[in-house]
Amino acid sequence: MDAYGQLVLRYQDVAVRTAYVVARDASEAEDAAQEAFVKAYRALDSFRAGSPFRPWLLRIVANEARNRRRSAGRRLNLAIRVAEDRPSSDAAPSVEAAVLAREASVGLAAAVAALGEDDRLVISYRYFFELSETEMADALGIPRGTVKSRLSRAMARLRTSLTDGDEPE
Amino acid sequence: MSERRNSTRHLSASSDADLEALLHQLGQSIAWPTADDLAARVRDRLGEGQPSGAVPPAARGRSLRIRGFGARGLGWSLPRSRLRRAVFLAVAAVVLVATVAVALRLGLPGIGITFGPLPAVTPTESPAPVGSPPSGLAPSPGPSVGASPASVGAALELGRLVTLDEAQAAVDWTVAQPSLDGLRAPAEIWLDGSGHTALVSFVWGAGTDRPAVPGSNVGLLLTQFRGSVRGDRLEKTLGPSSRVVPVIVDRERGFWIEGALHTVSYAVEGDGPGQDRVRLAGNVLIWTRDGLTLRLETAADKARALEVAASVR
Repeated sequence: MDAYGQLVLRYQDVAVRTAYVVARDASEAEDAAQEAFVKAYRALDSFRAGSPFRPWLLRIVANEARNRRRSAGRRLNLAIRVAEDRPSSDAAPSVEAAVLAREASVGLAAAVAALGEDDRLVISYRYFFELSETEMADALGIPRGTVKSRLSRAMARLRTSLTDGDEPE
Repeated sequence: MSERRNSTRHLSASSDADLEALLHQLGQSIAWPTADDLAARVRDRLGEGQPSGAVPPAARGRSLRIRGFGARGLGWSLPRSRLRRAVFLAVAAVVLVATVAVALRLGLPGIGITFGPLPAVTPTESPAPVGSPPSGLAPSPGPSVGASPASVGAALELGRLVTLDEAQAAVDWTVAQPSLDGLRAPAEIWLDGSGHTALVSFVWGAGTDRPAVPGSNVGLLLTQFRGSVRGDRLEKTLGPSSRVVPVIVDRERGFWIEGALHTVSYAVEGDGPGQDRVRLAGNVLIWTRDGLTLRLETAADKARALEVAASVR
């Protein structure tokens, strides 16, 4: 369990965030992530040695979040945090926590939130959680060759959402 | 049409690469929910041997941690019953940035923007000559040198009037200039300071494609300085109606600021904080290029400002 505890610590953030993108509720996301870690542990025998753990886990997380989702019709709220005013020495691009201007950030986040679950998830995996295409294929349970087209369609719908100026509820 | 809708329409016109970059940045800016002690609770679950799907009593009423709100990244550990209120307050804090000064780092070298109430007004003491900034501006550090009252930028107190060669000799970077027709030769070049802390300003009078900034005869004001990632820093205090839109200038990030007067201050490492003064009541485009931070002040629209900025070499 100690070794698995390290895995939980390592992946708990991305697990909760993935569950949140699917379930759209922080409490349900937390419950889903916890349950997914438990199920993953019990299913370790089926985990293919040498394969990356993260996409395998995220697939379980997303399924668990779907199963637990009780908030049909709820709009995902991707609130933008206000970054602290770091010392200037931290101004390197890699540590930019709040690089987007407030309005544009809120507008873009609202557009992402307004997408359907599949689109939200594929965009989140690629741009928010920075999964590789191979990892995305594993996490989404689709062929690798399908990832690009799935992402392309999601981005097209995001542009439509931006053009329409969809407002968060 | 709401301002947000305008903002998202602007984003929809971004290139694929720009939109992808913005999404990457957005992922860093979202206030994601974060579960505390998840490893311990998973350990408890596995130790209890409960059937899958059951929620252990120990997990009920646990706390959630919301990171990222508040100064210095302090997190709040709150009972679940208070979570919604906490989230509401956190979101409200974002909305109320116009009245509660909150620093927002924009990611450009040496630049931070602070949303907050405009500072106290210090009116100009006497009728100003042509090109005077409007009232409501911060006090200036000193008079311009070498300028006649007829100079377009005389009232802006940009330092001393120099030639391009003199400006180039005084600074340790290659002075950047627009390459658009009609803008290759500024009406005036001003120099404030020297070396890496200097500010070089180009001033063009109002004319075709250069509408006069209200309260002045200035059509464009381009200021450049070396934005250090170590010490230099520029801050803008924006009024409640100010609007900030991220833009891309020649593959570099920038920000278009419009809608209200701005005050400008900056600090140079080793010299302590310095007070720059408001220049014009127009819109502002800030971007970086080859280690330089450039600021364009204009009454022109964003498209024209971006056109000018993209031509700067």
